[in-house]
Amino acid sequence: MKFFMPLLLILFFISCNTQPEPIVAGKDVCSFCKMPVADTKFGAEIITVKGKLYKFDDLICMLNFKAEQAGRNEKNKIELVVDYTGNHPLINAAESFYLLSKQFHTPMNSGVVCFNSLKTAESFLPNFPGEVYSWNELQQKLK
Amino acid sequence: MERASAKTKIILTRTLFFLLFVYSFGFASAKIIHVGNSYPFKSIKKAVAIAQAGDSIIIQKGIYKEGNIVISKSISLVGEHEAILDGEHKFEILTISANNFLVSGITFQNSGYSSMNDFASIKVIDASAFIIENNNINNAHFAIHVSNSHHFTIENNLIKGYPGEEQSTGNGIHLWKCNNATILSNHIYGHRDGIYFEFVTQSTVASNMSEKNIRYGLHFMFSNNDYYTGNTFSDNGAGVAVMFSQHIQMTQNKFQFNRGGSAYGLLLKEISDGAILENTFSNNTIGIYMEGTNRILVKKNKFQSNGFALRVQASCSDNTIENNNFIANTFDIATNGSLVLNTFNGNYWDKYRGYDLNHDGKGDVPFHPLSMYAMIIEQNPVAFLFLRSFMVILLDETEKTIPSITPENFRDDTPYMKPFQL
Repeated sequence: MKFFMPLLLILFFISCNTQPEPIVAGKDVCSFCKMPVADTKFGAEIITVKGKLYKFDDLICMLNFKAEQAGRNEKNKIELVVDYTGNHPLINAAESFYLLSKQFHTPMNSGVVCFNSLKTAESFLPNFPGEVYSWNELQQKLK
Repeated sequence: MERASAKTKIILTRTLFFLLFVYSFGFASAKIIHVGNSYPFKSIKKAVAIAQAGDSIIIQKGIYKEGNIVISKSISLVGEHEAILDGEHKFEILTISANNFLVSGITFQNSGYSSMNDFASIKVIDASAFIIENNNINNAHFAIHVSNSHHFTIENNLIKGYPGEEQSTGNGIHLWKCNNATILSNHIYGHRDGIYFEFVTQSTVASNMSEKNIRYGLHFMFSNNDYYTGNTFSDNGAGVAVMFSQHIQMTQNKFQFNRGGSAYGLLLKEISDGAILENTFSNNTIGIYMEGTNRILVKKNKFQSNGFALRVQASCSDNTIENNNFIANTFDIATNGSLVLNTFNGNYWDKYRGYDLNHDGKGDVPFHPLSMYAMIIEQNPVAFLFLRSFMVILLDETEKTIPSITPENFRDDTPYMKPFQL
């Protein structure tokens, strides 16, 4: 009994503290469109309040998935998107900037890529003509 | 019937190409330009520069490292045995934008990789009436990349990729915004998608072998009125995916050894009005996975030794599943809802235990293909652990006698007693 309670507590914390995981090509599968991820430049990740982790291959899948979530009353704790630049780290969705351009061939053809700063997003505009959005604006736009 | 029409179509397109070539040769008093060590022309680029429409460039044996060769003329580029074009891991090898050309018998290797551009061994842009045949493409990012083109044939190429763990690889044959394409007898190995169609219409994919690709053997996105037949899809991340497309005919293909946590023989998502006829699904985790699929006819297919033969999500309606063989699958059917909007009729199920007193070849009592345990696993995947345990078998038998959890009208009223000869 002495050992049992701490063990239970540890298990409790492990199961509730899901950490963000990098998206791995060839291993992970998009939770919405069921496609195996092949390109890690795009994508997004959601961790729900209950600690469930969902990965997506394209931002549009995340938005579609969120629309489904609203139907079953599921709340999210963390929403992350993949930075198009650098080593493609996961960054906070609400603080990121989004460039929508048909020149980007994303897995589900949404043409949305994410950046951690407005400046970087705008620096891509000459080669990839399109519009830059904030997280809220993007969600309105692609609703 | 459908197969015959596909063949006629292929023969017709070939004749058309042939005539076009004869036509161009006839008018332009065609020359043959040899390139190689023992000829005046040592460089393909120089030969291309002086070539005129209708000329043929024959490339002698040797390794050519010329960076990116750009062609915008109606010429034939033919390789002799062991004529190798090397991209030195830096360049796109061949970029063509022309009507009426031929690329044949050349070995391409080591095309460049860029995370921003889709570098390819052979890239074709805004073209029509061309043939790419008998090439050997090794270690490419994208092997053959065609966009905005129509009426062409890609035939008998051997495409081999070596996907690393880190580097993301491109597709074997990649078509974007094309129509009337024929993809015939190619062998594609180790790419992202073996064959990828995005906005491609009126096209045929026949007799190809697509294996060990990271994602799909064949992938349709937003493509309508296409036809694929006689292909083999083996050991891919998932066999074939048909997504957001309409009127796709799928006949006489083999889907096999597509295994893994979320591997499918055939994935159908948001598609309608197609037919799946006379295919073989064997040794897949899931034979066919359907989501948002409407008005598809699944007939005369063989489902053998799959984890799940068919997984039909509740978002599917008006599909007809008839005259198929279900043999030695762990589960024949799985679904996530209780609403039944699809028709199961006259299939052979090896799990059927009924009798046939009037000897008409059909069982006298309906068969319920959905086992109770399949329903439980759908809601609680961890329950897989108890598969084949005594209690589960007992529960399944009880459910068969007195159905309570499985939908009562989910049934085949005329199950066949003997398998179909397919």
